[in-house]
Amino acid sequence: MDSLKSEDRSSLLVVDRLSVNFGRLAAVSELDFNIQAQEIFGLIGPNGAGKTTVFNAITSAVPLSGGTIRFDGQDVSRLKPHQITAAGIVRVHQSANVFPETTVREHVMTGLHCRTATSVLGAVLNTPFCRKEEARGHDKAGELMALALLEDVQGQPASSLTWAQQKRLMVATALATRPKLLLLDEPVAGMNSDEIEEMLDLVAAVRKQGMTVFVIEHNMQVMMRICDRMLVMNYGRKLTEGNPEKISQDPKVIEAYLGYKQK
Amino acid sequence: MTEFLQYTVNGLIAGSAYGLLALAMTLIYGIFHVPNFALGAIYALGAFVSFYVIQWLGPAYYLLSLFPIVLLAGILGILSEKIVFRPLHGAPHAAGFIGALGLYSILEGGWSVLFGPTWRSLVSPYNDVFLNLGPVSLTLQRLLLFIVCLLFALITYLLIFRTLMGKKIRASSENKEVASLLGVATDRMSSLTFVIGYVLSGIAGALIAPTALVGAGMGLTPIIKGFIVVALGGLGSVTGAIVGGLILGLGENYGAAYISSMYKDIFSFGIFLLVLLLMPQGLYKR
Amino acid sequence: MERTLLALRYPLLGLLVLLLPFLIRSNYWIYMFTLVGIYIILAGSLDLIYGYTGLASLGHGAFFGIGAYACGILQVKLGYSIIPAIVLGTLFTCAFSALSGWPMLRIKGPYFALGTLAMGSMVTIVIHNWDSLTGGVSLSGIPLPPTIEFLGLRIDFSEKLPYYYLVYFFVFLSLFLIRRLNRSRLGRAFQAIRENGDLAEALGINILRYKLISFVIASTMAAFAGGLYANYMGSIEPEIAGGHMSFNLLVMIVVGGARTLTGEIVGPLLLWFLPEFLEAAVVYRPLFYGLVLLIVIILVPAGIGGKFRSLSPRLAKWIP
Repeated sequence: MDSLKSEDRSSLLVVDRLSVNFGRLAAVSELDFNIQAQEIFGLIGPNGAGKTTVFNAITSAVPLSGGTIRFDGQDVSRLKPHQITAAGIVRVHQSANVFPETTVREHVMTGLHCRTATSVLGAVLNTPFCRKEEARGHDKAGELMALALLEDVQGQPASSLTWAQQKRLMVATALATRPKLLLLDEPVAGMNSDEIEEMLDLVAAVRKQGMTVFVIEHNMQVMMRICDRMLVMNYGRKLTEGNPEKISQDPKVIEAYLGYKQK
Repeated sequence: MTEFLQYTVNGLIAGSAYGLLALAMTLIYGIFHVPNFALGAIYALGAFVSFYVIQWLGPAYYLLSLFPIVLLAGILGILSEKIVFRPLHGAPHAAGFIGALGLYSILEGGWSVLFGPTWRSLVSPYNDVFLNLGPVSLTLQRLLLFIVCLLFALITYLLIFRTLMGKKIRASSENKEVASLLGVATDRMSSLTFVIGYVLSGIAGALIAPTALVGAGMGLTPIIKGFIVVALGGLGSVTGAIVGGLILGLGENYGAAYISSMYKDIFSFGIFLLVLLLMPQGLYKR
Repeated sequence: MERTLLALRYPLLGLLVLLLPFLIRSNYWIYMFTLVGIYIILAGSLDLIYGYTGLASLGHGAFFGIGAYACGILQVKLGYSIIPAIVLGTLFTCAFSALSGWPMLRIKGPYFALGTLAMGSMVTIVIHNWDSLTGGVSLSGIPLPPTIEFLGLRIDFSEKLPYYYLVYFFVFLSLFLIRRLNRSRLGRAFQAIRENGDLAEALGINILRYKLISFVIASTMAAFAGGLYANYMGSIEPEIAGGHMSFNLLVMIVVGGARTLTGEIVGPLLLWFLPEFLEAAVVYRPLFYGLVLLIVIILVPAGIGGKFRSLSPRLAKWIP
């Protein structure tokens, strides 16, 4: 406990010497960084740098080969995926990851599951508690669908939505779990400029509600606009971190992306 | 000690039949990622064909039954592949698996109708010939079973791993699209794989028949065991199927000998469940 | 007008069930419908784990069998009367399903189906061989429920009618239970697990826990159906716990249409009565069932209920 640096103690997420190996491949090596509450923290790096692996490690989708992850003061390195979500970290995947046959409304309400408590007996008997939770759930789902601009399609199955709509649905569903930390993996990939604006409005609204956002993206303009601080990875290691201005001018970063030293 | 050797020999013999069935199943699993239960019914068909050949032509013609078996098994293999498995390939929610179950039921039901519900025994000319290899005794039929099973397993192994055709089969099962882009006639390869699998199962049935009772449902327990072997030895692994079959046969016989023979089948199921519980992700990732 | 008609669907169905014995007036057919009722409870319970939660279990018959045998043994060997026997038998099977489900439900994919198949076979073998307890080849002498005197009414179970109503009371209860479950947050969890287990887990759903809940509820319902069956038939065989029974139930659900109330009712009705109408001998049943299953899974995978529902949104409103 006392080995924590003073800045660590107030940080929401503390990643200390994180390593993830797949056999002999070191996907992530000795990664250190913190995320402060209510900031938007970006993660960039060339393809294969290990960015998604970092997300996978935080959400326990892959086991850690070394290091620790502390969230809100608690060591979450050994929790199971659903426990991580209950603790307040939720992640939105890079590729379309939805419940294909579920309607948009039901989809968002599925996210509420871990924050509701109706038991088997309660559900079967349709107790007042059960009915109250359902009603509140429907209200909350309505709010989130409005936020994500999905009200018009709320009765459609998730598989029938456009790519951009599906990504917003994924965000809305993730928000239903009432997270403190939202992990966004390439939220605007494959979108046109209008769709990007819609997604960024959503992210801004999310931040206004007091959530912390950790985002991976390749779109540098977007990252410059929204991130407070950024971490740059290359070959599984930290290259550098800092505010977007500083990062964009760092010769090491430019070299990593372009593959050669700029004169 | 002599008893142990005897159990070992019995186990290896039973295991060779399981191994052959498992081999058939693993080949087909490799292509369609569906455990083809219908192989159990083909196994039964093999037994029935030998039964009738012996009944009509006499015990001396027992080995002749292999020819009609190869023919019938081959035809059924091509038909099942075209009618059931190819349309269901890639269908969601285990449709292929259900299709395999349906096919098994049709075939087993069909044998029930064609051959009747009673169980019979059949006598081959090799049943009565006892061999004494040192402390161990076995009938010639069972030695034949062992040798032929291993022979066919070896032939199949060589076919899959040492011939061009085998390479094409492996390519088709690993990645159908790429294989067909590279010029492999993937449809023909999957039909061929089915034919091989069905023929192997039919032969296994014909060889087992003189040592066991023949009935429409005789293939159910063996094919479950075959699936167990495939699951334990690695879905799609040829060596895993053969070696796994032998191990299962041994385990079963030791269990039956040293613990209880009434509950023999439970040992294979029990071992399987135990292994799965310890390794729920499945044994070998292909 | 339409709304009232829609709301009247279930009461009308109930009325039909109530009046059916008087419409068909044949002890044989009442017997058949009673058995179908037991199969409807069974099919519905399988739909819960297979249709809704996506667990391809080939061992569901095992819980039916264990429930039947537990109930039967308690009455025949230990002299219990019917109500404690069926309650204890069901509770015993419930516990067994929780114990066996907890390890088995961690297993993924085809291994799980195989594991349940192996478990079902093991149960059948044990029942068959442990003849001192189970009577071996068959357990007979299970008595009918005793005659009840109730508010001046005399209910004599040796007649066909009372058991018919008894079974259908539980049919309605179980189908209602399944609907309630699936419309609740539990149903959402089941559906999430079926459609995308990894996402469900990422959203905070403990998939092992909910698979287990679904599994245990379904197995308990099957066990209760087993108790009803044992007392109705008077004698039971080990095969009712085996792969053929589990397979038949799966065919009923797939052909009827998974995840639909229609399927849970029509599946058993069709697969029980069609062979009867075709006057097919029992020996043709596996052939028939396999054929129907193949035709449905290749051509109409959503089954009868699913297909009709997908034809138009209006039909979907009417067909549950």
